[in-house]
Amino acid sequence: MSRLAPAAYRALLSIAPRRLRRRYGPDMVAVFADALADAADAGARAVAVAWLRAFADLLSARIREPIDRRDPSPGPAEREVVMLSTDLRYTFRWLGREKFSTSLVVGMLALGIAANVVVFSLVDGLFLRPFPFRQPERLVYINETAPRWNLDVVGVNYPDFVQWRQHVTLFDAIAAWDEVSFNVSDGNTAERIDGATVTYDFPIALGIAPVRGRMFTPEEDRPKAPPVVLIGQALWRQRYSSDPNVLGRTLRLNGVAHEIIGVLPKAAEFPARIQLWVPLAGDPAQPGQSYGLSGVGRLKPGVSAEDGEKDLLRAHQAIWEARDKEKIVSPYAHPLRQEFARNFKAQARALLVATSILMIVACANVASVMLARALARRREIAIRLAVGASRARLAQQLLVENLVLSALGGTVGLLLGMWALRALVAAAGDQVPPWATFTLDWRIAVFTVLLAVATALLFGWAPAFHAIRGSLRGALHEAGTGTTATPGARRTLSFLVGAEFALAAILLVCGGLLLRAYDRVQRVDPGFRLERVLTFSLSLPQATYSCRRTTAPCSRGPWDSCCCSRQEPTRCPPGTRRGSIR
Amino acid sequence: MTETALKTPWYYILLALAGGDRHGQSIAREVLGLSDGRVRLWPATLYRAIETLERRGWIEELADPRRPPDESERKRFYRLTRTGRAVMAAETERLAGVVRLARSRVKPRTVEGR
Repeated sequence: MSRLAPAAYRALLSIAPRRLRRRYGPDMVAVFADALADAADAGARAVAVAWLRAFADLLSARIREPIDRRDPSPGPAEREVVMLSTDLRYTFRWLGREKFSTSLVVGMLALGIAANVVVFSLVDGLFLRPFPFRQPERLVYINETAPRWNLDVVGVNYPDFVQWRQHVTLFDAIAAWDEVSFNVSDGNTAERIDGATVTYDFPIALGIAPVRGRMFTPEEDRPKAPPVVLIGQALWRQRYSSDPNVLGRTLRLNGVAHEIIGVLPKAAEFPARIQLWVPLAGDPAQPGQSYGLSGVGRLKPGVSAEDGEKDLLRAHQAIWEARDKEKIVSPYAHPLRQEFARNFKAQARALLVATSILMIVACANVASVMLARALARRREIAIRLAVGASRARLAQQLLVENLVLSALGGTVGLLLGMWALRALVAAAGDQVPPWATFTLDWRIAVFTVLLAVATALLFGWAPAFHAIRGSLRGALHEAGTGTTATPGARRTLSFLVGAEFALAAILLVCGGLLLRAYDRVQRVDPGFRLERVLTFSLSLPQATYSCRRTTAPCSRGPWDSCCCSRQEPTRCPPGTRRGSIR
Repeated sequence: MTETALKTPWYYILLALAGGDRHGQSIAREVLGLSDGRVRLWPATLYRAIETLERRGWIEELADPRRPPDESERKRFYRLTRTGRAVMAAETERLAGVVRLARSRVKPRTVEGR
């Protein structure tokens, strides 16, 4: 358990009656730590439930405090239940009576909480949550750059990679991979599946183990080695119904039979939806190899990404001396997340700011409604005081009311947030990187709900508190003469309303600009007519179409330099008028 | 003595202390174990119950010298008193009576019946 949890619980303890807190405070923290540790084993949801239970536990101690203190003769403490249920019954009756302002407060709290929770969960999934690999902080992304040619990324060259692999000292493992897709057939059906060619140390670097079978051996990662393939768990399920006897079967990839030697877990689908892995089987001796692979490395414990990069540069020195004397290309390494999450950084930040403003507006809204409600109740409170209600009893009643109200808002907000998050992730489809998992983050859920509760308590309770403490005659008189608020309350209200308008205006303008920008992007003229144009790609497996590479690029451009021996006309699909192949 | 049921946490705390002197955290763990994980005593519930039981004289806090020697931390240890033991026995009797009554009214489901 983190050091944060006991501190947070200690803060929560302020809800508990002071006597209990003074006498048993540290012991209570220890007992809670036990419960939290058990919950942590069961998962994030259990942790959230544990916090809620602990909160409810402290709250009920608070509410029953007056009875505890009196603690009459031994016997069933039925009275405390009666008192609490009276408070609750009264609260629900009151909420029902004031349907409009109740739904206003609950709705505003719910919207603010939902938006905040969803956006924070997205940010958390993309930036804060570690990758699903063992010790992800030790992973670095490796590539090569050619600043002199104005190329940020050129891709990794296989002979370079082999050179590094032999000479780096600060890495536990480095691996290279390339994304490719395969025509997969076994008998009648054929489909196109994304895969990757990887060096044998790829799973070692990422720290993943197959759920079935074994990984590649270094011998299999050599040219002309017998073809083997690892399949992803999803493919295993879809194509083989998770058959445990899948190992040893053959799968035809691009027309070549590969033996299935293992099944990889979902975490291995990195960096995109990859379902097939075959050995890269590169040959470092072959001259003139292209750049285009990507690299990943696992640093030794305690080594920073910068030191890893220096290590790579040191290993690269020999290449500069041998065949790149002008030092055009040089390797670099940076933390994995920096590479794969940077695309989302701007959007995520904008969303975070927007929802924070939304939450402030929601809190201000709640505050002003609570203030108005409390002002309206001054008369009622004054009368109840006049007929002999104790101040403590009234304060407790108000506390229960406000807590019920914010609990309602919080619950609705969390439900809404959960639903919205699921809908959002489902709608985003392919844009969501598979290594990111988005679950409702319990820390932010607890934080937002506490924030909402605090707002409701502060603004609902303060005016009522004044009424309770203030002079009875004044309150009765004031309340009797009309509903006009005191100057102080009026000032608070108008300040809140002003602030809200300002924030809402900012949100409105930003939202409007965003829509307008989106509209603009939609209308950008690409220079040709987009209507009724289809694009498709077709790749012909080398094994059956025996491509012959021509040395000289043909007149129609470099893409035609591969000519195929089976001259089959590509027929246009029905409904299309004209097609062309690049 | 009580005619009505003891509160669940109370009964479990007495049960936990029947096996030996314990501090609060250890009571909570023991209760969780005794109930197969069904009864978790949350902090405020636990210490409110301990407070009440102590006030009623069913349990007592151990003075420093009588603590188990290996526990160096400053924790409060509790012991079941004679009264506490009697209350627990009475409650156990009552529960047994209830079970007997229930058994005589409701035929237990036999294996063949399923």
